[in-house]
Order: sequence, then C-alpha cells, then structure tokens
Amino acid sequence: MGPTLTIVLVVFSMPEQARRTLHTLSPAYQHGVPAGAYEVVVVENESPRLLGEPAALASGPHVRYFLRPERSESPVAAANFGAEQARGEVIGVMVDGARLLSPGVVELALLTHRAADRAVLSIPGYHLGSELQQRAVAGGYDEVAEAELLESIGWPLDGYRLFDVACLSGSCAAGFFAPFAESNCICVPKSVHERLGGFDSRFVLRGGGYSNLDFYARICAQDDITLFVAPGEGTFHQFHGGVTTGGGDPASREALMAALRDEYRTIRGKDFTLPPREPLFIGRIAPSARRFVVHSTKAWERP
Amino acid sequence: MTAPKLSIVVVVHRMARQAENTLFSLSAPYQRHVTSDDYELIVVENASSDVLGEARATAAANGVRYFFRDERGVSPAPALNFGVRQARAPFIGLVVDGARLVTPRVVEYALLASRMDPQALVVVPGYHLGATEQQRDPNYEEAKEIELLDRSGWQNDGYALFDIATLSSANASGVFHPFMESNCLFCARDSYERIGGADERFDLPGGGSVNLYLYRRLALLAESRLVVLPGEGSFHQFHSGVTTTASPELPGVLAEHRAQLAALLGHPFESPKREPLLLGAVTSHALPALAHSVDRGLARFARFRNQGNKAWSDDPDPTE
Repeated sequence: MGPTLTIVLVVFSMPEQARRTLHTLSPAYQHGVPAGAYEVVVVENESPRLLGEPAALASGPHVRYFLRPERSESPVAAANFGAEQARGEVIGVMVDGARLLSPGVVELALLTHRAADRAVLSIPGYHLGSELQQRAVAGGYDEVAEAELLESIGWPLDGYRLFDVACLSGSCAAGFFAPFAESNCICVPKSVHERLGGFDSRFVLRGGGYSNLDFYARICAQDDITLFVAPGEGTFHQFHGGVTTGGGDPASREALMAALRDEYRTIRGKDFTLPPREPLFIGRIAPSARRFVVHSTKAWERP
Repeated sequence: MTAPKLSIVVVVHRMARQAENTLFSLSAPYQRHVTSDDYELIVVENASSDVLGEARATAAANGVRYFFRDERGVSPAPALNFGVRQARAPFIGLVVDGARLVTPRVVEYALLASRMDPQALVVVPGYHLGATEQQRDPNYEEAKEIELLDRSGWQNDGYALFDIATLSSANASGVFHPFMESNCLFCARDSYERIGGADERFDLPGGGSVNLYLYRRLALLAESRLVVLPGEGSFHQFHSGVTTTASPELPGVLAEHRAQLAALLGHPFESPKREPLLLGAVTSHALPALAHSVDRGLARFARFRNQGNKAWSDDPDPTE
C-alpha cells in the first residue's frame, strides 16, 4: 500500500537549511507516525548551492528527489511538479524548503484526513529568532546566530523547543483567532489540489510572489473543505537570504513588496485580502507553544 | 432509515424542565452541521414526582427514543447501562445528569473524532450556570436561572451560555489540567462494555462518584485517545441535585462519596493524567476560559518541571 501523505518540499539555494528541514520530516523526528504512511518529494531548482540527491536521500527511504532546471525565479512550477509526483491521497505543500517543522505535523495530517472528507490542515508559521528575520538582519541576525540559537535549545532533541526561540510570522501575527495570510505547510487532499490546479503559474516574480497566499485563499474559499489549524505545531523559518525574509535595504524591499502586490492585483483583479474562514483547532499544545495562545487571546478583540 | 453513527444516552430524574432544555440543545436544529439521521437520543427516565414523559421528550428533539423505568434505587448507574444497551450505534454519548445543556457543535465534533479514531474518548468541559458553582451559592435558585437563560438568548446562539457560566470544579483549571470527570462524554460502545459500564455498586443518591470512576476507567484504557473540546461546554442547570445544591449536609455527603469511590477503586481517587488532543473551533465566548486554561496550565507545567515529574504520567509514553 502506498503512502497516505506526500509532503512536497521545494528547495532552492539553501542546502544546509533544507538538510535540517528534511530531518524534521523524518520518521525519527515526527511523533506517532506508522512506517510507510508518508513520503517526502524533494524538488530542487538548480542553483550553484545544491542540496543534491545524496544529501536528500540520506534522510531515509521515505524521500524521493527531483532536480529541475528552472529559468524563472519562482518556485511555483517546482511545487506543481512535486504535486504531480505525489503518490499520497493528501499533498502537503512546503513551498519554502527552509522551514523546520515541529514533531506532530505528520500525525495531525493523517488524523485530519481520517476525521473529515476533504480535510485541510494549516500549520502556523514562525520565524526563528525574537523578531521577524527581515528586521533582525539589521541587528546582525545571520546563519551563524541562528545556528547558535538552535544549539541553545538542544535542537533536534525536542522539536517543540523551537517555540522557545521563535516569533510568529507576519502571516500569522494576529494569532490563531484571526485569519492567516498563508501557510508554509498546508496539507490538502489531492482532489482539492487538482480541482484548484495547484499554484497559479502566472505568479512569476521572485520567490513566487503572492502565489502561496493565493493558493491558501483559494483553498479557504472551497465550501466543501474542513479547515483545521494546529495551534500546537509550527513551521519555523530558517534564515537563508530569502526574497521577503532576508533583509536588504528597506526601500528595495518595499519596492519588491509593491511589485508582488501589483502582480497579485493584475492576476486576480483585486487586492489580496485575508480569507475569513473559521478553522477547527486540532492537536496538543506543548508548554513552550502556549505563550502564543496567550498572545492570540490578547490579540483578539471582541467585535 | 439508516443506522445512526452515534447514540447519546441522557438519564433523567426529577428534572422535567431542565431535561427538556437539554434535549433541545442536543437536537439537530440546534446542533450545527449534523442531521437527525446522524445520531439518536436515548432518553432514560427514572420514575419521580416530576416526570418529563415521552410526549415532551419526543417533542423537544427529533430522533428521541424514550424509556421510562421504575427505578427502585437512587443511582443513575442502572439507567445509564440500560440506555447503552439500547444503543444502535458503535459510538455512544453519556449524559448521566440530564440537566446539562450543551453548546452547538458537540455532536459534530463527537462524530468527527469517532471517524478520526474509533477509540476516541471525547470530553466536553463542564460549567455551571451562574457566577459561581451552584452548591457554593445558597441564594442561587431555579427562578433566577430561568431569567438568566431567558436573557442570554441561548436557544439562538448556544455559545452565549459561556457568558453566564463558570467552570465546574471537575475541570476548574481548564483544558491543560487533568479532568476529574465529564458530564458529556463520548466513547466507543466497545470501550464502555470493556470496563463493565457504569459500576452499579455506586448506590448512593445521585450515584455518588460513579461518573468519576467511569471517566477514569475509560481514560486509562491504553487504546483510548483523549480528545477535549475547548470551545464547547456542558452547562449544569439547577435542579436540587445531590452535589450541586448548597446545603449544610453537603460536606458529609461528599465525604461519603469520596470514601465509596476510594473503596471501590482500592485507592484514593486521582484524575487520569493523559494529555488531550484539542479539537474544534473556539468562539469568542469561550476564549476567556481558554486564556484561563493557558495561565493555569503554564503554572502546572512549571511546577512539574521543577519537581522533575511528568505532567501526563498516565500516558503510555509520558511527556513532561
């Protein structure tokens, strides 16, 4: 019997980060997952800094690796290519291979798939560090600082300690009781993925622009899905000089962000708005993650 | 008619008006995203001076199967076991005190959890209507509660019940602490049978602590997956109940309950310490209780960590 879940991991010019991400996707790190229940499809776009097949496959027999020549600066085609390779009934899309996971993500993806027809599981996003990396970089945050941070929590011994050294991503900044702008690990039934045609290939700007936000909003707009959010799990962004998370001078970044918003407006004919869909929460919440529940309850204001 | 996926047993004794409310709260128009074909309500009423009766029970909700019993004892345990024997579904709901109103997505989540894991043990946190637990307020009375309920508009929005209630002492510290019991509990019928159902040796008025015993035994089954619904609740309506009414005799009654519970357990009672999976949406009404849970939970975990003890010591693989 094939795997139930396929995680598609898109990698581009981030070998060290992707190696760590793959560790968080291994059966040894993920809790309570039966052998063979999931696979990881690594799709790497060519760059001078390759992860490469041997390093990807070293993570275990659950990994398949594909190297693609990619002319554009967008991961959209790679994400859709990965989904085409999926053998699972559920596709977990991780469009940025630099995101570490907490240890309960795969188990919850499998549980929610059993719990409801067309279950969608959205994992909240965090940045490693005490502030968003695009800001922290001005204060000297870099890969070395991040390595020290990971060492300080003994990672990867207890993956939930990632919450101790992280802050919520901008896309989830208002907490669990407000809509997210996106998820960097979103598990979708293959049928829903196919219905939506995956990521929209018209997003061609650097890093895929708003393609991940667009994908998330279109999923949330499907009437027949059940949206789950796991408040006790997270994806944790590692610094890798990414398009919107790598810093650079503020004026250039703002110009880029404006271009990305414009691309969305051109494609969809409107400005991006947060998808107002109430999720069902699911999962355990480790003590280290609870400060974010506190933050969420405080961030929320009664209408 | 297709077989239901869920059978909910509601035990009623001398609480006609309250039970009518409870059945309405369990009915398909009030419960969201489910139909009356999905589940059945098994009402077991023990004879009393204030009988609900079949006509009112079946009028309060669709899918009610009503059973009247001439119970000679003073415990609801035989009625609960009788009700479970009538169940047609493999997954059952247990409401041992028919005076408990529930919020609108309890049935949806119980069904969802049973699909997720047939061995799910689904726990709805308990609340008392009113500003404090009812047995702590000698002035609390039925007339006040009727007014409170009327003003809340709960029939149109069941989550308004959170605004007029307080956490029960069985789960006073919220969802990151072990619960002592649940007055709205769902499990596999097989699990209920495996533990021998509600132990009928609990023969004190109201069943004494039979519900604590039942919950503990179900929660400690290795295959049970504990699921707590942080955004839902069961809300106790005042009905002159044995342990929920202020009285000078109450401390003595509770001592008697504790002694019987310890005797039948073979040791003093402790809440089962298994880490729950949380499930379901949390409306704005339930957020204060969740915030309280987090505060109390953080304190508990710090205490356990300082002592070097595991917080969920009854889990097969206990975590801190």
